[in-house]
Amino acid sequence: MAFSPSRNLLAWTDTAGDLTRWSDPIPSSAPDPVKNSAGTNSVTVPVKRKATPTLFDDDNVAVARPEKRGGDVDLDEDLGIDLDNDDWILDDLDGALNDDGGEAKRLAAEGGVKEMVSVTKAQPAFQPGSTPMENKKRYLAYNMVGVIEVTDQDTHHIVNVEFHDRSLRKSYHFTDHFRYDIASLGERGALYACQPEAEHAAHVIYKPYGTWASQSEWTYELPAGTRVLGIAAGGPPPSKSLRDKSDVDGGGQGNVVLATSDGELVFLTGSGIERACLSMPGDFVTMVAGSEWVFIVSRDGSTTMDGSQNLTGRLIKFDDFCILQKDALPIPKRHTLKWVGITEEGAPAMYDSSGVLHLMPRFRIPLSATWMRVLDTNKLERREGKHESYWPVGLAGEAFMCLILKGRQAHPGFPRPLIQELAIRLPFKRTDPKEAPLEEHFARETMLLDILRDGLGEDELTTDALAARELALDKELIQLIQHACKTDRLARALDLARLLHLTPSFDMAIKVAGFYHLIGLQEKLEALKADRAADDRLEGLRDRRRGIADDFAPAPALRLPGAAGGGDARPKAFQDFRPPPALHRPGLERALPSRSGSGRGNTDTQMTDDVTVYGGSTQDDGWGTPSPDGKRKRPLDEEPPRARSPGLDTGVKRRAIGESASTARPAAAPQPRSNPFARKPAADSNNRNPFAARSADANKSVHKSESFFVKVDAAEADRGKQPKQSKAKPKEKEKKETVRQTTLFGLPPAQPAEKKAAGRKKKAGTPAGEESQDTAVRAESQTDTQTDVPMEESQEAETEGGGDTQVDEPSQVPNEVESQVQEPDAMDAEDPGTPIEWPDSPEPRTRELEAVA
Amino acid sequence: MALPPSLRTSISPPELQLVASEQLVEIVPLVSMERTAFISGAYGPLRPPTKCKVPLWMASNLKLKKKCHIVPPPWLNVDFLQERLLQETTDPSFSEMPFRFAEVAKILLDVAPDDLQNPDRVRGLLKDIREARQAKSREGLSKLDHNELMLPNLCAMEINEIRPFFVRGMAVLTQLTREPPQEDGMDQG
Repeated sequence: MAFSPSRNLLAWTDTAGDLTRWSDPIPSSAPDPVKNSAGTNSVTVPVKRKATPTLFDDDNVAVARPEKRGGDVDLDEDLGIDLDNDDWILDDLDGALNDDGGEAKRLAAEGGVKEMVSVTKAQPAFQPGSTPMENKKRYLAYNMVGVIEVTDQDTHHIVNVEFHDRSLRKSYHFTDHFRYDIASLGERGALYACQPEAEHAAHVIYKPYGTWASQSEWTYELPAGTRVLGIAAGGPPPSKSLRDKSDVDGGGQGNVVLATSDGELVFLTGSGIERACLSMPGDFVTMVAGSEWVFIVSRDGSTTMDGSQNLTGRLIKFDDFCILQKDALPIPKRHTLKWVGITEEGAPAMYDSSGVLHLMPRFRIPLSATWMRVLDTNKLERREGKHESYWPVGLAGEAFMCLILKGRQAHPGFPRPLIQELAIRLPFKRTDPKEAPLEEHFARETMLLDILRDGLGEDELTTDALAARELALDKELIQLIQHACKTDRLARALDLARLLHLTPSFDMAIKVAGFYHLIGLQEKLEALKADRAADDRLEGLRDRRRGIADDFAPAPALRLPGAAGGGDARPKAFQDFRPPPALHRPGLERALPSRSGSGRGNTDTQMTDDVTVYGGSTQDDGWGTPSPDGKRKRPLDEEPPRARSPGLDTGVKRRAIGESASTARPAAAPQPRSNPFARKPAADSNNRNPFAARSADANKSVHKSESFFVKVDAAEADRGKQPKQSKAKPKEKEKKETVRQTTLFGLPPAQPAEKKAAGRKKKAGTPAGEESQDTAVRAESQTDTQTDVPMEESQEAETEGGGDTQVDEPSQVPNEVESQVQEPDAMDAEDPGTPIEWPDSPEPRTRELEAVA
Repeated sequence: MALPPSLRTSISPPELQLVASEQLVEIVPLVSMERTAFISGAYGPLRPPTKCKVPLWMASNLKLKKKCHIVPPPWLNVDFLQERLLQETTDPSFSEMPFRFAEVAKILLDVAPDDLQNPDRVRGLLKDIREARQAKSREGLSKLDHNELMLPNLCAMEINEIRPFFVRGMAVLTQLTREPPQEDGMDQG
């Protein structure tokens, strides 16, 4: 038997198989069963009514009706109506009084209707910590920094800002004619936004708390018609008081983010510089800004049919506007997001209408953090027997700061209630009185430690505070181990020992095992300890952080091998707009005191070293390219200091000198300038020297490598004669090996001659060395293309330089002095910190001088 | 001390108040401060808006400088006191109150009435409770005998009130009942 859900109609079947329909079983005098009566405004009632009568009336009606149908209809009707009416009342009472289950129950009841009728109502955008206007007062923001209260004065608002820490920031109030209706209280400034009204467009105003500069406050106007949906002000917490104007830390004024109705997310700095304008994915819901990032909650798509709000949270970094985390918010169905915030440690947190607080502890690991349930307020002991709800304010360490609202209050009122602290507690289900609390505490503390440890970055291993907390945690673990040993659960004890942080704690665990005569466990623990001692846990963690950082390092842009580099290094004729190379006038040079000490000595030897190389480089065009990579690396480091500008002026002249040498020996190889340092630079085209333009031909580098081999070969050949040379670095020895191979590959027979040439060159002494420097510069300018360098060019360069030769050549000694003077200078200026390790062949220079003499 | 000899037998209420101000109370600081060592111990750090436990003397000092809000102890509110007053008036025994409630309540009512809810009512209730208890303690004195006086849940201030009387009264009673066991006492002496 059933009532029709849509009409005043009752239908039933009896055991004989007859189906009977009874229209209008409920007289019009009684409340209509289908349409809402005036007395009921709940949507749920009609739905329920359909079901309840069947349950209640079955016996009465179904049994009674067949017989009584004739004349007793009225009675039955009355009976049915009475029951119905009772139900009406019950239903009403249910809806009105029985609100304990609150929202959930009502929503559950509505669920049936909604599924048929419409989708879940989408949660509107809100600012965390704000309340609606009640009695002409409202909170615009209430967080761990302070409170913004607004009082409506009809024609205008009074905004009153108070801070929890009055020693850090100064409270203030102002009269507001724009009716700011959303605000955000950041660590370094307060941000207000108003909506467009008849006479003005929407704008945002940022008021930094304390500043050393004038005019720190700024407004940001939005185009007419655009609304501001949400704003957030973030920034690092101030290390000093912001009340004192004279001393400010370097943290700036933070960052500002606004979400507009145009679907934009505008990022500004605390001083009003527009940094970026992103598009909002989906509908904006809320956001909150931390020191390094902003946590934005949006609805991607729409709510689902079954009641989920379908919210997604994103952490977007302020420095590069990249997504740090992106994850759906774990809000149960038919519940809404109530609050988002940032803990004192900087982790994002959220609270929903079901009363569960979530935290994202490992938020620093890009795109892989998870939400953890850290507190279920429905299970708090203090809530037993009371009717209260919690209005979140913030999260500091283990304390959940909130306002406790009595009864059905949804928002805090005035005067401002005191902030209460609730300890967070992971919702673990174990109830063992001894172990459960320890386990829970261990998990909670580990979670908090992870946040801190992730924040250490890639260099630090640990801090004192961290170490102290780890030690305390280890003590708890030892207690747990001891308990496990006592109850003979050895696998558990071993598992616990694996969680220990510090190596000395293992000794304690071993002692405990020994105390209970658990030899097997003791041995296992010792093995575990040895294992732990072998690889440092802290270093492992740091390496992991590094690994993650590397994984997420920006991918370099695609670079095509030939095209990119070669083109700009050597501009085409008539397309070179660079200034001509400076003329070097030693006479006009400033007299600089020569720097004494090892630095200078080094450069000298280095230069002479170059010279030797230079001599050798003659004919090796063919096999220069395959020079082993191993060699390249070292000079790379050394290059930068040498390659810079000081080389420039000397370079011009030097080239000339080089040419003079080559002209003297026309037979000698065309590219005498090769220099061991020039080799590497060719490889990295990045720090090309723009001034080195003309010296286009970096081909030297190509040849140079061979020249070096040759030199080394030569050195090996007359090792007996030159004991000093043989003393060369291990690196050089390595090279020798490689050299041997190359020789096999096809070393030209003319070595001794070259050697001589080299010797001759040495006479040029320092100038040649300088020239090598010059080549380095040029080589750098040249791109990585070693292979396809036209020889002619290099020769051209030489001949071109040849004109100067005569001028410079006589003044060898001055040059030398100069080079000495300039080189250390250059190095100092550019990179005093870098230890410069030149290939060490200490004496050759003096030797050469002797030769000259 | 400049007090007359009759008063020297017991501590004065201000002294009791001083003693009570070593008790810890919770405050919500309005300024931040690192953990600081005082003679009686190290307190802090103060990190607004996190609560912190500090001795009453420090709390009242900070409060007078408007640098904190004092969180009233759970017994210092109208509901609790009303319930205790009811117990006090219906039950012949003393109700359970914190040992130094009178002193702490006085300090808090003096220093931080704005942090209490309905301080006037609290003050009135405290007075009523005090009177009820006073009556009981006087009545209890009538049962004084020479070797013991059991008044459980009597608080510091009340003990102090009746101390001069019962110390002397007990001495007199002891003298009066001393005759029979005198030899024993002499033996022991």
